[in-house]
Amino acid sequence: MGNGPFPLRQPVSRFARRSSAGFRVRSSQYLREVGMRIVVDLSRCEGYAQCAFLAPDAFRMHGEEALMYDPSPDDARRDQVLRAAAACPVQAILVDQLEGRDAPVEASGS
Amino acid sequence: MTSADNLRAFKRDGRIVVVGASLAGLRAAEALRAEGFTGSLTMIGDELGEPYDRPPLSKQVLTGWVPAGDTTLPRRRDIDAEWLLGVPAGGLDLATNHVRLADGREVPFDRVLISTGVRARPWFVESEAALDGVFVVRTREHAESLRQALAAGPSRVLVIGAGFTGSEIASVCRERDIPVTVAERAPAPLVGALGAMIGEVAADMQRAHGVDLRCGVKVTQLEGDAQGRLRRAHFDDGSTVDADVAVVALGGIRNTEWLRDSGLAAGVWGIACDTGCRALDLNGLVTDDVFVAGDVARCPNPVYEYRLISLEHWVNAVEQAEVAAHNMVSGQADRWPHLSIPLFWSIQFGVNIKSVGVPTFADEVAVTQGSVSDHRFVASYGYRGRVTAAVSFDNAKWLDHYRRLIETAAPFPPPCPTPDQPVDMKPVPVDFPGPTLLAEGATVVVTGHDPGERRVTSAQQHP
Repeated sequence: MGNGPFPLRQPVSRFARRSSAGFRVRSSQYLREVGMRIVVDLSRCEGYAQCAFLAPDAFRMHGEEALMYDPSPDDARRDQVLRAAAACPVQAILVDQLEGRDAPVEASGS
Repeated sequence: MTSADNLRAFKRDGRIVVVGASLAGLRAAEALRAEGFTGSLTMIGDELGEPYDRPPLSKQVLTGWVPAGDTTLPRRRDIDAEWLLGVPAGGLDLATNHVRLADGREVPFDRVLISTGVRARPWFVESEAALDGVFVVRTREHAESLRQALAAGPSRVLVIGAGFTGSEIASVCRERDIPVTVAERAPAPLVGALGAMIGEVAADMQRAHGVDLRCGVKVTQLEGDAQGRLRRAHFDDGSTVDADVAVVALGGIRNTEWLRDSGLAAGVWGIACDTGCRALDLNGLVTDDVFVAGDVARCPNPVYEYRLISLEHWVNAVEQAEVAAHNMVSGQADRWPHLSIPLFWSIQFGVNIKSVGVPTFADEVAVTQGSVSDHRFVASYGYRGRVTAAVSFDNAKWLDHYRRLIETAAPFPPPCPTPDQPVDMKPVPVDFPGPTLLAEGATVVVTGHDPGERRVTSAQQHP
């Protein structure tokens, strides 16, 4: 395809990332060094709030039934988040299954 | 070689290109590997960075809780793909099976999945859209810019369009104690998706939370100051509102322009496909090697009279991706049809709004459970005497019940399944304003006389 060699690492974004210490830019803005990632299938979620009880830093109820969550919880909360995912009555919480991953690279620059 | 031999060879050494590297594209790539596809996989996307989730962008990102760069999607497996990011696709050549990138490069494929999604519809006056303080929300960069503007404490935010995204943004503003005006052309918020009755409930909810809700009005002009900053909006009734932030929430535009000369049945309405997510060409013929998934797909649903329906729903993207991926590496006899009942959710003003089915496919609506005044109820939608959809406000546990009613064409109105029977269960006309997405069509020209010559060309694909 004539794309030429790609740089192996590209910044995901320049956004500052929150940590427990406040706001800072952390090294994991690069793709191969990532923290925990989750997504909740809110079409399945029925607001049982087990997650908000087990991992309150990552899952919060918004009103009686609506769930808000942090898609990149602090790694220090990993055990809590895994417990929350396991306890979800409708199994709506997906936690990243990968440690290292194949990194997307930029198409330009060939 | 038999077709089974061909399929085995394709699964081993074939080339699959996925155009559109967001939720549907990523989930399809994961499913292809899970199905045993070991050939080459190329992911093409116009945005840089890994695929990320969009629903949080109008909610927990704007409240300031979650940074916009933190919604990267988790992975279920390594997809061992070549990623071509930062350059959109510019064309599709089905004679030679190539995707052409906007920078001119060509990417060959044996099979291709199109999941290019939608982009935000911009404000219609370019110079006004360029004013400081005018935003749309679709990408994480958009969300980050708006988050910063909200954090700066604007004197007033104007939200243009009271669909789901606009309403969610208005809700975030009130949560952050920012004065907000919502302008909507329809008589109430959410009316286009859920009808007049639910629209009234949504309007009550907004006003109860301090939103300055102005319905039945059109924003005619966004006025800037000498420094090019937004300061005022003008309405068609002569009124104005002073605001330093405006969020244009007028829905999306499907990313199909790059398919203009491809011969596919693609246009503003999406890309038509069969229930197996195989794209149709302009003649209505099913293609063998082109598949479609996500917001850009326009798929027939047998439950809704086989009408072609496009859905900008998270779970629709996930499900179509699974079906498309499976069918891309399966023989005819093993193919799956995508036969789901659509599901949707929105979180606003502390209420969990969910829907099942297609509420626009209805002539009547009735509250069948709970209490509207408590904002905790289920409304059922019916079409010619059968249940076609349901919407819940803080009552999501019951939606599965209504899904089964829809799947079994249960009579409308359905009885209340719980003791909290509403005072008034009488069906009322659903009263949608104007044409709905189900009515959108294509204008085509048919030419030729012999069966071998008859062809369709598109007359108004991209007005």
